[in-house]
Amino acid sequence: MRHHQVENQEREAFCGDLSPRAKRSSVLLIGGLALAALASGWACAPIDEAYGHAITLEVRLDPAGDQLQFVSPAGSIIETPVADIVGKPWYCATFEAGFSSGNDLPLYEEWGTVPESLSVDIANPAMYAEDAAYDVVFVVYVNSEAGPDMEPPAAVNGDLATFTIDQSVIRDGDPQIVPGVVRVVVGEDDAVKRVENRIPMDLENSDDFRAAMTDTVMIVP
Amino acid sequence: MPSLRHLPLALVFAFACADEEPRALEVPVDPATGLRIPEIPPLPPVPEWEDNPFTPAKARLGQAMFSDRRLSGSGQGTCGNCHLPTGWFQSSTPTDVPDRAYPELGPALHRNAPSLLNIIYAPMMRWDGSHFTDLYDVMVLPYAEANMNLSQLDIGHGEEVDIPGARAALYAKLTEEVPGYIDWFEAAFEVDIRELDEHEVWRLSGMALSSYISRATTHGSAFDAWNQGEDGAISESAARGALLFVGEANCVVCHSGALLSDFQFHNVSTSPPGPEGTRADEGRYLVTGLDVDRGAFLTPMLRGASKTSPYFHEGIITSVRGVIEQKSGPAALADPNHDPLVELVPELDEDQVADIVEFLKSLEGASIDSKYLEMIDELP
Repeated sequence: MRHHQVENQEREAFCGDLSPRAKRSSVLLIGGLALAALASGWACAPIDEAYGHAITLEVRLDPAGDQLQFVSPAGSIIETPVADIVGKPWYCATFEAGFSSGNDLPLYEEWGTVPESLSVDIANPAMYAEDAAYDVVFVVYVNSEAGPDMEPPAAVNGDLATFTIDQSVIRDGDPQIVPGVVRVVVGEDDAVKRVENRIPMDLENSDDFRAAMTDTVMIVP
Repeated sequence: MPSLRHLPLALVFAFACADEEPRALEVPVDPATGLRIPEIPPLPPVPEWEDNPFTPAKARLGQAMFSDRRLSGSGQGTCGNCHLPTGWFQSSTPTDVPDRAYPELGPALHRNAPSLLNIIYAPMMRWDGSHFTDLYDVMVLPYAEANMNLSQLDIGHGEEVDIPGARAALYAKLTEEVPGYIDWFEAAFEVDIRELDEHEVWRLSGMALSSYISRATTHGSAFDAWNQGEDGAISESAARGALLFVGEANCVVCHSGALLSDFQFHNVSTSPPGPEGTRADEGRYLVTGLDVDRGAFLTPMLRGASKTSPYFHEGIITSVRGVIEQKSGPAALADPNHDPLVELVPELDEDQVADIVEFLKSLEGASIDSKYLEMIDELP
């Protein structure tokens, strides 16, 4: 029987601490969706009263019976038992938009494990500037060994990661959105972004395909 | 850990104090070349092919083919699956899934799909240089591989290439199965492809794809501006890194010229032999059969490389920092067949590595028109 935990007991957030771990660099490769990040508390931007906005990533995985369906980079639909996802570690990090994959530091990062509800809300502190763009990555290590005491490893072969093909949310002058992240633009209010395990209903329909590839949780080859 | 502190603090500084002007080292401009570092000249203008002058119609045709699933064996694969336009024309994955894997998640291709940024300038391509003749042929080659799988390759036959089969299949696709392409080729090349043979259509397809990918360049980098005399265009750390790169660190012995590649094949111990003496990937040797080429791979270009993690032929290193540490450490000498040039790279301390990382980030540039990054709404 798989190990189930209560969501709020499983989390570890890192931002602004100066622990030995926080001083260690780490690199994240989101399975094929390379998001390298030096995961360090040093990376966290100082909380500034002038930057009063929060970002929340809402992750919603919707099962079909006892299976979860995910779109693959090739557009195919891959099924994974729910039991194989629940209890697995997830990692979430927020970067300045257009960060250099593998080289820039996250502004905020958090670890947890997937609850039985298959829903996770990652609420970043109110530390983000108004009228600014950020890139958020979320990965579930289904097959890779990972956890808060480790550097986020490369996510590969059946792991899950955020992805969007939709570039329409890019504002003039902002950088493009790279594989493995979703773009969050903070306006006057706190920002909320939802990602789901979207799948195309009709593979021959390009609109349907595009929708499945937008703000999705993808399975990594 | 001074360097680890240095890098994050630099980034926090950049975030919190964006109004501060970056400072650059005092590096004089060489009057003969007009450059501070003549070993790394600016990215030249996009070359024009005499036999294939650029036109928007050709680029649009190439862009359509690049993203058209109907032109794959399964009807699901695209060039963009492994070379995402929005991902700097790579996928960020260590290895990608070929079309023949559809609808399964594997098996994956055995080498990393490199970024196509600046590929128009490259006089040599592919990790091992296999099947290389020119860009036109390389751009259309994946149709003949498992990648696009037009030949319906047997999954048990490794990385087989079937150009004759793919030529025939692509011809049928473009002239019969997806006949909308007839008009698009007419608009691009002023020719009715139904009156051409398979070889000619194959070649024109490569030309169209090449026209499209010729827009994927990295002009306008901060380094080029600084190198041509613009003070403050890059940080002091990046300037130090550039000087290190061409100086003490000797990176330039392989990563030379405007593209920061000598376009040669070197064994830098990225595929060292295992205990039984065999390598997981023999690299260039598989093409030449020469023992000296065992474990050797093409020197990658570095403009934009800081955006195209992961690195090496297997995509096993996820950061530029990790690559530099591999090259300057004992791991680079692990293969007995390693290139002696690797021994010229000294051990670098963390500050030096951080400076070279900053230099490589200053090479990014952003000159891709956004219209070439989008999905085409109306395919032929």
